[in-house]
Amino acid sequence: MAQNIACLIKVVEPQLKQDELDTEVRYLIDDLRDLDGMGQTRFDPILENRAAAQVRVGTRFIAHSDLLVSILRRLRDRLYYKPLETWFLFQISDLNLQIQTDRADDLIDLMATAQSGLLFSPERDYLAEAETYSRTQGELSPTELDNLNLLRQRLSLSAEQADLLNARVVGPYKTQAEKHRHFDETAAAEFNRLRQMDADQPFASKDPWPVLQELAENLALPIPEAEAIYQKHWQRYSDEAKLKTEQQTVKTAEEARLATETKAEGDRQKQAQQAREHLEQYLALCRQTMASSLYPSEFDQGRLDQARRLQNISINEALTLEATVRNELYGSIESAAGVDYSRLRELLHQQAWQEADMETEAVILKALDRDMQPVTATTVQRLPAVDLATIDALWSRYSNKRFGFKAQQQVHRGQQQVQQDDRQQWLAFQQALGWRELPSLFYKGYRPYHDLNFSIEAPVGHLPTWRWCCPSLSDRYRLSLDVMAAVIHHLNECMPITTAATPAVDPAAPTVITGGPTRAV
Amino acid sequence: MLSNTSNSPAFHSSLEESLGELSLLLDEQDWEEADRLTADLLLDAVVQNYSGETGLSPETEPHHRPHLTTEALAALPCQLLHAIDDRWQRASGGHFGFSAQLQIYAATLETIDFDPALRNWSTPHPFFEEVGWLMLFPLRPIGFLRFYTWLDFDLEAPRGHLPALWYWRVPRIASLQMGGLLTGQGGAFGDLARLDAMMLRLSRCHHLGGRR
Repeated sequence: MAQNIACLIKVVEPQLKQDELDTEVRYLIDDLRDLDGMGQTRFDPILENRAAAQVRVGTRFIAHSDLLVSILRRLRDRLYYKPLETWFLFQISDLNLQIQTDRADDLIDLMATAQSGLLFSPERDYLAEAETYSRTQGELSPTELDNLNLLRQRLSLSAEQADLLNARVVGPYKTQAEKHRHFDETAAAEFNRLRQMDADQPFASKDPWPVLQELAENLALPIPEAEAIYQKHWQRYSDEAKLKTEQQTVKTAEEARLATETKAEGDRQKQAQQAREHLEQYLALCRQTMASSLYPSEFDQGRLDQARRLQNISINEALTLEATVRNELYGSIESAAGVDYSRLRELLHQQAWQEADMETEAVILKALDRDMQPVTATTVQRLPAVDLATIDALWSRYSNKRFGFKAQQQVHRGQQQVQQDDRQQWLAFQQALGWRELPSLFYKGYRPYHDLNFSIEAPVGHLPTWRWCCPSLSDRYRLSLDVMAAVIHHLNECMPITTAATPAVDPAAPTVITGGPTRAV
Repeated sequence: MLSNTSNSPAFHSSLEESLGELSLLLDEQDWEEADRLTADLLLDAVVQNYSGETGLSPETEPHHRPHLTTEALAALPCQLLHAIDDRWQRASGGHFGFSAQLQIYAATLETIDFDPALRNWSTPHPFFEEVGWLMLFPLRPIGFLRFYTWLDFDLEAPRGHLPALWYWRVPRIASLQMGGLLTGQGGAFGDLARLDAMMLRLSRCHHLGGRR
């Protein structure tokens, strides 16, 4: 395809003087005119005002495109021989090729391009137009296609060629919608990558806009549209990141709180454990010191005090612990009436039977809380079962079950089985316990309290006496029938005895007590 | 329900009055009159106990007049005993009063050779001898109490000598049973049960820890 090219050549070598410059330009024009087909060419001078005179610095001419290669070759040869800084401008239709150099090699590249014919192809013009269209909207509208069709005809390109070029311009994605979708997908992929990066290495991600912008350009997708898509993804991503950060913060706070709580709980448990251990140690020491005596010796008390201070146990706590151990080792002293049975326990522990019997009276009258008046058939019912059980357990424990209310109940049960007559039954009961001797005509069989047997050899159930029912004791230990019946009844109510129990004493032969001689009163 | 005689306000105020009178008499060292008042106070308490416990008035009693039986003694209010004892002790410097008598009685119980079962006219309870309640005979004491009017109403008397009328004042029939002359004012063998009841009552009251 024939085309004219406007060429401008200007020598700009600064070392040349004015006359030398003029000479060089004249040689240049001569050289070019020597070329085949250039004889008729008109070379217009390029003038510049220098130092008050007009100087010819170059030339302007129109050449046929076919001659471009030979012109370039000539110019190249000239630069080989005389490398002068020269400015070249070739206008090929709407394309301007411009170069300023003193090196011949630069022109060789240009020659290669010229020889490829690309510079003058109608495809290039068509492509330029089509690209302009595609860039504005990302696709070729029908109007634009029509325009291009007209251009194709003007450039005498075939329809197939034009289709190929159109396809090249719009790229693999034909319509804007496709490009849109493709960009959207790519952006989504890009942001997914960011998310993954975030997962591995939080907060290190970069803004992917620069690459995406490049992609949009390559796709010929209009930038504002691409940016809108990008913004959409970015918004979602940053929202997610924000949410994630918030969740992370909440989670971290929660974890920190949990950790603190766990630690505090651990500390508490540790302290509780330590306190328990201390108590255990103290209890062990209590058991040790009280193993042989009800109340620790002065020396042992000192050890306990020391341990108490060392293990940080309060005095009240220590007293409670000691009491617990004492109850454990020497029998419980529970009371529903608020009576202290520790003295009774101590006396029984010492086998001080008579004192224990007197103490029993004191605690029972205290438990009754009736101004220390003797127990009567009506008031006996007010004695709490707990207290009676405690007293019985202590007597029983320290007498090897010989003494105590239960022993007395057993004796009574035995008499009940053999004696029908009420009066006989009570007489036999008292005789069996060793509380009374066989009455005679002048002697009722009552014994003075002080003549009773306060030793472990006494008959079963002999102790504790029921002196707490008596108004007086010294001249005789005597219980009225109704009081005895009421006491036994109440004891049976409070501490039922098993029917299978064997009578403790053979009822046929009531134990005869050694001791005070029998005399008529 | 029953024993708490001091719950009755009228009785309470008259009791306060009587105790005040007792203090006065003791301060004046009018021992005889103080002893009479002491016995009266104890009897009043028995009357209160009867009416509180059984609902019976003293008039319905067969003897028309209650007296200090063993049962009555065993039920005397501890508070009253403490109050009376306190005044006697303070006035006499611990020489007279129930506490002094109880101390002597408890000490005699420790005496090994005394067997209450063996007591008879010739071997009286050592307590009687200690407090000087026995009729004085030239060679040895016998278990025969003085007539009440023969007692010593001054601080020269043996320790625990007073108060005494609570023990002497018995129905004439009881006095006769005790070998007395129906006077009800002594001159008889002592009733050990009543003495022991009173002493037991005092010792039981001691468990309450004195005045309440």
